[in-house]
Amino acid sequence: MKLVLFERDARVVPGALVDDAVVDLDPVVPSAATPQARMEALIDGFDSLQPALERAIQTGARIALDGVRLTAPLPRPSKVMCCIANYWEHAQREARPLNMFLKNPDAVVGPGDTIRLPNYTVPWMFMHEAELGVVLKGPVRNVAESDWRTAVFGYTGMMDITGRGEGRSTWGRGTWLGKSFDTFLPIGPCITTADEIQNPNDLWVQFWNDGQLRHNYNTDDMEHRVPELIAFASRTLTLRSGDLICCGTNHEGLGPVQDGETVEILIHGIGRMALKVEDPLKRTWERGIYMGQDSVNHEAVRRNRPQEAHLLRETTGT
Amino acid sequence: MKFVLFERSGQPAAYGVLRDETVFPLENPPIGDTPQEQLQQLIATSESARPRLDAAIPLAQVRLLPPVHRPGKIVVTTATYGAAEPVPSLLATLKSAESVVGPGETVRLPSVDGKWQFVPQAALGLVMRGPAKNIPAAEWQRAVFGYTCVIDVMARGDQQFGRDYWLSKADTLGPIGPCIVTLDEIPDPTQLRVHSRQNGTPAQDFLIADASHPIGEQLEFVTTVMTLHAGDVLVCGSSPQGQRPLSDGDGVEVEIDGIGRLAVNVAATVGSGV
Repeated sequence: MKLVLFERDARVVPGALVDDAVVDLDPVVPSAATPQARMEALIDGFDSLQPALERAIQTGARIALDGVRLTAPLPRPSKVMCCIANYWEHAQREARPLNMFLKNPDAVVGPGDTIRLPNYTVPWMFMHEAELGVVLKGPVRNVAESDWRTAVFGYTGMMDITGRGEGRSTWGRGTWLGKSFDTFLPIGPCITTADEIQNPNDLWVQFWNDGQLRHNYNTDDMEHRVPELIAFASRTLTLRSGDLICCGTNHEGLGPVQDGETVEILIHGIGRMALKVEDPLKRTWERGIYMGQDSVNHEAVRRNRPQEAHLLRETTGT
Repeated sequence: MKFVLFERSGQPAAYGVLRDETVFPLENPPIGDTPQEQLQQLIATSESARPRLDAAIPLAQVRLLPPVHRPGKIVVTTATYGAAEPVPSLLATLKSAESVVGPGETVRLPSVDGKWQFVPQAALGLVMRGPAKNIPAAEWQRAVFGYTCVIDVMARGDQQFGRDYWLSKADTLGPIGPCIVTLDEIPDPTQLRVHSRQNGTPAQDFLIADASHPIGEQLEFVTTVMTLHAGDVLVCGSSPQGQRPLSDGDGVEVEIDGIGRLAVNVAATVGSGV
């Protein structure tokens, strides 16, 4: 099932994506104070709601998707836990130690929304990262790796928009503050329930900026896989329904986001979402994949750090 | 006014007013499904909040809960106090509502290998009125509802990979309390003195006036990055002086003159490590 939130009659209500249409699930899902709480109620009650949801999807009116305004399926998670790096990037080396940070959960935007670069010039560039998001079901603490599925409700797409301090290092070293500007957390378009995703470490992630392909990787390249991420995060924090773990990105396709651009993420089997970018300062950077000295794009590595070229592996599997 | 969130046996948690050793329920208690929603309502309507003087309850008969029960965000700045040398540019990091415990509750240290230490940092907390974005330093007070005490427990041991900040976000590592003191009660917040004791022995002791970055500058910086909302907490950094690592069974007290004293216990947890 592909669950969404969408606008209807000046309200945000739950629905299901079916082909190119949305089915209204408003009559089936228990009411709650906020759209986030509504989605959490749906997560918590999913097992008992499932027959009614399926009936509604079979029989309900289908509203054409192009006439519907989707919002982020998790408008305000209580926590957004993000992996730092976490992809091999097709290089032969040791896995780096797993680490995470918290991203500002008030920064969420959704399909069709606008990423607004801040009126603040200390970060030298703002970049996109495209990530798989794991939507959690809780409360749980200290989940064993072998029990990881008990903590997972589904999956979504996520862009980890980031202000850079120097090169591709995040501004606010150690604090990861460059990732917490307002609107820097696009989530969506839907939550695909876990039963539809056999293996979250075999998903194809693509990302375009104005139609130019930037990220293009498979989640089988993850250094620390989803079961380990669940175990790791839950050793430190209680994981709650509607919280999100973002699995990190493959930095081979990093690039700037700038005024007027349209950015689009597609995770095959989950969904596609596009957003606009606005910058009040109209800053410009060279368009295309970031090829700076510290880029891990293979062409950039061969150009900038030929001594490391022998570590590169073929990019396959997407 | 000093607002507290309190609980009496058999009754749901409610906001009240603390005067000396007495708690007064509110005449028109704020409405909300959760204490945090009630706080947001209280912030929006605090001008008209009145204690029920006919319903005094001795403080000893109630249990105080963290006055900010599940803040949407806890933003901790890197401001320091009394530093002799130039300090790095101001930054900030996030904790979550999972950090929060209240007076008399227990900080549970994550179970990690011996290279990590956990250090309590006494701090002034600003409870936000919100929504606050791009607040000029000189106007910081209009964005703030009140003051509270915070113990920002920080992990130390692995700066190379930055897991210090991650572990510092663990459940229970951010005690808050005992009350929220409204802005009008503190004529000059730079004169606030933050001091702490560990197992009864004096530990940290510093003045807000000695901040590397004054409160207004901290708030301006954080709201340049993100919007702070009603009931979010901005933690105004701490002093490097007097910090000592925590052990199982410790007691930690933070007191800010004019606000109150927040005391918590410490327990080491049994678990599977980082």
